Amino acid sequence: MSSDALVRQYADFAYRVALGVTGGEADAADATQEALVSIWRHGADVPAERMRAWVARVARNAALDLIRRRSVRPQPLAGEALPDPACPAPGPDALSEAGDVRRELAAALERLGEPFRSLVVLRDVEGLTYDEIAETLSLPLTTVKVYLHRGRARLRAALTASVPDLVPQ
Amino acid sequence: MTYCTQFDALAEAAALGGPREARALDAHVATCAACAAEAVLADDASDLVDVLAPLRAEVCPPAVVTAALRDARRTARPPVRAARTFSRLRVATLAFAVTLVVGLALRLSLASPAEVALDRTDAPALEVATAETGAPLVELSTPAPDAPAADPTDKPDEPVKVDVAPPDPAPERVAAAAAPRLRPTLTSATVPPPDPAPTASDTLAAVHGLRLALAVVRDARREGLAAVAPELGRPQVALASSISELP
Repeated sequence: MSSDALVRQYADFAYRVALGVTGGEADAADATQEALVSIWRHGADVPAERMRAWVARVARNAALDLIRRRSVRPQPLAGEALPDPACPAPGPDALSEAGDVRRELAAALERLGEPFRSLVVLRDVEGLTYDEIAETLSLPLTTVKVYLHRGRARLRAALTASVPDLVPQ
Repeated sequence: MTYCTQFDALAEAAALGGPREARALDAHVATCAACAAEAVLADDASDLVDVLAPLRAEVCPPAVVTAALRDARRTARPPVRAARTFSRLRVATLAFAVTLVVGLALRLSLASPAEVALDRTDAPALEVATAETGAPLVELSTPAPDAPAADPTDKPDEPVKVDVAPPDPAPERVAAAAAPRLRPTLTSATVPPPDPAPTASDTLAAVHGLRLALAVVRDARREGLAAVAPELGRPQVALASSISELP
């Protein structure tokens, strides 16, 4: 597969990983661009069975590097301010639009922190196997599972607090 | 469920620390029963998969892909260009070196023994050798293609007419002093006529021979002038200038 084809094939995947880490579309786009350049250069040398884990690691590292360089916290989606946690949770009507749901999910993920955020995104959004996640994050398998279990619990609690109708009871 | 509190502390230290903290966390998780129970629970199907479904609809903006491809190609181009430039420089340097070596080799190969001998010959030595043997050392009667051949029976050149005021210019003595010097080297022909396509060595030999003959003529003229100048009461430079103005 050519380098261009690799970039096009994994662009959405890398973008979603970066978006899950940064929480902002602009930062995710910048991180994805850097990740895609790396994929274009080195992707042909990576075995196919390890490609998803490798791309996820490249995109995540690019996003984390971007956050470190800017020394700022991840920006909210579309430049909109995050809802005040002290405010009462909006009703279902307020979240009727998909964009609002997406922003709420991104905000909840952002509050998870690393590495819980990356684990939840890689597993429950992108569907990577535990082994792939362990390779991506360079963590033992059991540690990955513990992190994931706790990350899910935190995310569930965050969504229950902000969007209670979104989380099944 | 009761979470392992030690895991939280170790995880926080691992997040802030280095490889040693990370290894400590891994060692704990590998042996902790509570953490193992959490790991089993993580294997269960997550109820958040459907909740997080909107995030799976995110797609990378096409502009990002385009910019990444452009950046990748641009950053990959300079080494190729540099390699080509280096290759061209290397080829040019090699060509120059080869040309230099070939030129030197040709120059050395064309330097014939005759040329070397002629280079070492100077006018005084020629005079001495001529006086001892009675014959010219270098016989160059081969004329240039468009030059008239020298005839051994030709009379001596016309006496040098010096446009000077009296006293007696004594032209006979001027001619007597100059003629023997001007004549002898352009006589008998021992050099074979040039081939229709003379070689480079022949050409060089002919050029050096001609140069030597001119040197002899100049020397003879200088000595002739030196001989007659006191008698004429004129400096040699003035005589030489007057001679050069003759038709």
